[in-house]
Amino acid sequence: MPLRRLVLLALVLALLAGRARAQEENPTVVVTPSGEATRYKAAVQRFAGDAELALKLRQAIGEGLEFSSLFQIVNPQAFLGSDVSGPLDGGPPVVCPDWSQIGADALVEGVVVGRGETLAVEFRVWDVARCQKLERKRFSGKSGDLVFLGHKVADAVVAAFTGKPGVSATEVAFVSDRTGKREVYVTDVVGGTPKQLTHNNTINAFPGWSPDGSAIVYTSYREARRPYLFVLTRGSQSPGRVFRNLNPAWQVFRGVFDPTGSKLALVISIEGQSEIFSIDRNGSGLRRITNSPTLEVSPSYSPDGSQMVFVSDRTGAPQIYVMNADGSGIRRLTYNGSYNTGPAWSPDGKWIAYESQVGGQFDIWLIDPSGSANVPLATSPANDEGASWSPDGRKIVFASKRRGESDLYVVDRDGSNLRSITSGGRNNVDPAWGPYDRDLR
Amino acid sequence: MVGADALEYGDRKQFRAMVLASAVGHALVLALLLLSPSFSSPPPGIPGVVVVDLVTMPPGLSPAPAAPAAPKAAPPKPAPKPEATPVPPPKPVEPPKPPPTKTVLPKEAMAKPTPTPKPTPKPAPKQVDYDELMKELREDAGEERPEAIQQAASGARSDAVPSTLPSGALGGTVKVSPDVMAWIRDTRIHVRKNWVKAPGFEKLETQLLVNLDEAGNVIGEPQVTRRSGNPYYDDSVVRAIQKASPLPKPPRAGEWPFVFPSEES
Repeated sequence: MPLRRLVLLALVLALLAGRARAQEENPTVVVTPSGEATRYKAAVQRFAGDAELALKLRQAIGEGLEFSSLFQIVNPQAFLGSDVSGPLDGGPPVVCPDWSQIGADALVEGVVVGRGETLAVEFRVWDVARCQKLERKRFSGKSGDLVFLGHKVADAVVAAFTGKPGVSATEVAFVSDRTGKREVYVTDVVGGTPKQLTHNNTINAFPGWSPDGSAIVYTSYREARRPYLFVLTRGSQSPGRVFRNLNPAWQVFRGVFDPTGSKLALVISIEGQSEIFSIDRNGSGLRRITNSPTLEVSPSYSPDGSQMVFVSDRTGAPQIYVMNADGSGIRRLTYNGSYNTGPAWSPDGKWIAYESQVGGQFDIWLIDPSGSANVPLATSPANDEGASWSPDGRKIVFASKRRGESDLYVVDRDGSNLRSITSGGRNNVDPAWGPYDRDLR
Repeated sequence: MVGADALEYGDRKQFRAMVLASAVGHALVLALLLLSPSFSSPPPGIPGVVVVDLVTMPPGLSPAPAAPAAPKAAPPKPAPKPEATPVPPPKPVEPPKPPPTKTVLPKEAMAKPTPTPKPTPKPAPKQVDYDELMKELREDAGEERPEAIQQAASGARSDAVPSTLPSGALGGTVKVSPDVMAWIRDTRIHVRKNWVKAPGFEKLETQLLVNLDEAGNVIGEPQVTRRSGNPYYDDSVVRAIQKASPLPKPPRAGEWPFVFPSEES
């Protein structure tokens, strides 16, 4: 036994020595990223099954992949392999050279089945260069969910290649006055038609998602022309007012879920003075976080919930501050610009987006939590405001008056790929990007 | 000897006696020279250079006659005698001390400059070749930005390839010939075009060993020799190598180490 071990050890050492010699002979080639955005090329086959469904599904997958800014679609007319997927089990083998020859990095094949009111999609993702199967998944939904399912497939393809799903199947809540009143709406981030969530003909503002996407909290003046918080749960048409146990003399301007969804930070005006509180979701455990003779508003939790970024005018003009979630350790973050507000902490914790008044208009800036890096993200002569992060932290949605009326725009974290996601309304403001669909979490 | 054959016998006898006498005389002189203490080698403590203070003598006391006597003595007999006469001045005793201290340092200092002239002429032609080569490569690669080229030439950009490069993962350096530098440059550009680095991959580095045949084809799957900690990042660089195959024709077939840092250093 010891002799065998010795022989094995000798073999390993010889192997290592051989490799070391090989490495010693040739110099190392260091390859750094180009700095320019590059994209994977994806070949998406028409899924097996109903041809009409399959064509619409392929289009939705393509939209979702393009939206990721990480993929571009290979024109099916360039395919050397089959345009239509075979069955995933027992079908013909994938011939990777057919796909690599046309420059494809990813191959998406699958099956779509519609039965009555239900729809099911099963698909496989291939890494063509390595000829490896990366993913196989199945999503199902209602018959009207075809585009949504296509986006989910696209997001899963992004996850297979990068470890993080794409966000084309997510939603953005926002406030619009397209009916003449400021109501809360929600829209799919890619090609969605806004759906009106509130119908109270009063002022509604500051929608915010629960971390699991099951509820939206917002501020409404629907009762007694005073601001209260309401929560609308998914699938329910009747929002309910929350935290009725609070002092009726207080005005609750805003509620923000913490990352666990079990607590909210509240902005409450007491005798004309806004302060930040925290409260358990069930209405118990109210705690005052800030205590200052000045305004303290716009709280946003760090992804781990241990800290909070907020706005205070304690030095005269509104500036961005960071503190521990219990209100201790307050430190000022922004020193540039005379009016900084609307902070939003990124999901990876590395950046805080905020709006800064520069030269008369507001632009979106990014600052790191230490305050050492501070860069503009979206600038225009019109106002850019109300930044909210996508759940993958790769994109930001904000409101801008670039086209006159305020619309919602999405931009990549590096400032590229700006696109609008709303149109037609007079003013679309206060965007809040929802979380991942539960199938992708 | 022709002249000697022409002499009469009587003359020959006389000639032999004269030669004998001359030989004995020379032998005596030689013996004198060898045995006399004044001709022995100088003591080891005395340096080769002797510092002498020159003193202007008052007129009338000049030892002028003695000076010319020395050159006269040199031709006929062994000249060393006049050289021995300057030894007497007492001052030369001091100089011997400084020279050893001075000579130790200068020798070490002087020893290094002499070899340096040898390497300097060699790199000079390499740099010229390299610059020209880089220009050609950049033109081929379509990199026309002058500032980028300048930066690359000065080594500011990572595209610049120094004449010595790290070898493998061992941490050593190896001298690189211009053709290898050109290949590295070309390969870097080629692989980079095939690499998709998703945003969010930060502060990562993956090391690979890539087996290339003579045509630049990647043989088998690149071997990850050091993982970044993020498997998706590792996959992205392996994918880039696979997709980039065939690479530019390498200087030699074999295993080539690659490093993919997520940021430019």
